[in-house]
Amino acid sequence: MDVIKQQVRDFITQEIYVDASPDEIQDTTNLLDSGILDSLSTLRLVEFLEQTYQIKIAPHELSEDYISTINQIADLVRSKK
Amino acid sequence: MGGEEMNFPEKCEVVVVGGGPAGSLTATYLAQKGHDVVLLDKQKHPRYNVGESLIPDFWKYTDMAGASGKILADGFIQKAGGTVSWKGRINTHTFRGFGYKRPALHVERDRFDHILLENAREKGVKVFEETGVTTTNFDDPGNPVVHYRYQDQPAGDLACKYVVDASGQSAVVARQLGLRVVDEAFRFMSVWGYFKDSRYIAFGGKAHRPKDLSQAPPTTFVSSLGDSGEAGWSWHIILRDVTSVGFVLPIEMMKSVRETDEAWEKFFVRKCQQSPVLNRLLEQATFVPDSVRLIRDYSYRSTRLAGPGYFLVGDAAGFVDPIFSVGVVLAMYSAYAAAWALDRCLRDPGSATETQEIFQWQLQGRHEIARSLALPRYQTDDGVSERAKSAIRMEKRTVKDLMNLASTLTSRSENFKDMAGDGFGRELTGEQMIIIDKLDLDWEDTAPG
Repeated sequence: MDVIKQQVRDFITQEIYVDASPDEIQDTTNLLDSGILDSLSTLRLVEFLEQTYQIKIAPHELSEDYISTINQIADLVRSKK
Repeated sequence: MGGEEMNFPEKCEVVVVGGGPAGSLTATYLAQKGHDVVLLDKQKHPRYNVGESLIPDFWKYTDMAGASGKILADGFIQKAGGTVSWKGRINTHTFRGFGYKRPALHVERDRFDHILLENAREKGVKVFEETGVTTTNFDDPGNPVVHYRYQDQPAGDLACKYVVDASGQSAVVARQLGLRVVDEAFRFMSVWGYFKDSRYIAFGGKAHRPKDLSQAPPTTFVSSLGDSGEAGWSWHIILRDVTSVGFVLPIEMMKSVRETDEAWEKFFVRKCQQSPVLNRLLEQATFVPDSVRLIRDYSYRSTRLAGPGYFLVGDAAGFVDPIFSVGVVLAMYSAYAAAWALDRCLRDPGSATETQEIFQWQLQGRHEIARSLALPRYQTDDGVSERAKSAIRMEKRTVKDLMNLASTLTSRSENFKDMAGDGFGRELTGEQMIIIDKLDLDWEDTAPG
């Protein structure tokens, strides 16, 4: 059971996309394309990740190559710990 | 007034210069994150401002600030969407058709801005009105000192870690730092005024009298002037008491009018009469005397949006043509991004350069989108359009669709498709937009039943 993935998922469904139905956000769902993450909520996500995991996200990582899916986000966090 | 005991602190973490939407929200978000913020506004609220049409994207910002309930309670006019007459082609569209569930508004800015400023106070921001900022000393950029003056009292000093320039078109800090440059691609001025009892256009293109407002919500009416689509445009925004009518014109127009209030008033009224649609909508309206205002040149931008000891937000960061009512929402986004960045910089000063880089990238990308929608011929260097492309990809489907619509309406779509890349140019549905042959300016009453 991947704790980081669950925490990220919880943050998204509790803080950003509160109307999600249970299966709506899979680990591979593209959060940018589906509009769940936009230029505003991305900043909130970064704030959450940095404060929860004591990491720093670099400017180039605020993009579709690093934070499009929950899988990617979890990988990003792990790579910095 | 005067002789009032004002307890100005000698230091704080962040000084926000300006109490319009950008300043109030930057300060509010920072206070919510636990920071010590002082906001200085040179005027006393409530005070007049222009920029009266808001798209529904603003609600998420006021939600985060805890101000949405008060805004809803004020009873601002809820608009259905827009009607655009561009080079003879008329489109009318609603926000609901794009999936927005909350209303777009026409706001009296004195009330709207006052709500946000009072909300900032409530959230712990130390707000001081009638307090103007003269200069800021950046000799030690890690510890800027703001020089201010309350009413006619002797100047005071306020030390901080960061200054946020939210002073709008005055752009006091941006100007002091030499960051503000004229936007050569974009040479426009604006003149506007107010009428009582104007009719308005509802979704579908029918004109109504003000008494129909609750049954037939209004649209913001925008029209191109001249044949080419490059001679400027007009707006018509109905408010609760008056209607705001304005023109955005090539800056050369300045030269054709003598520099007196009277001459500008005559010019404005004549322009209203020359517009076929406005003339009809204003048939039974009365002009509000002394209500004409102008901005000689609002086409400017800042070369840098953040640096040692400072951030720029709102109009101080840059202003683009207000044709699609994005100015206030863009200002609110900049406030959120600035608060996010400031919080990061204050907690971890070592990350300041990188954090400001993120802020600048995000904000300039959004400015570029706005520019591409507003400029007749959009030319830019590659770096800038990369930012815009990246910014567009990060937007929700509803916002992208709206931008697509906007670009189509005003023949900027080539610019937009260039920037947006693949997966664009979807056909807009009849719920989103209707093309109509002509406006029904004789229609007066809502249908019975």
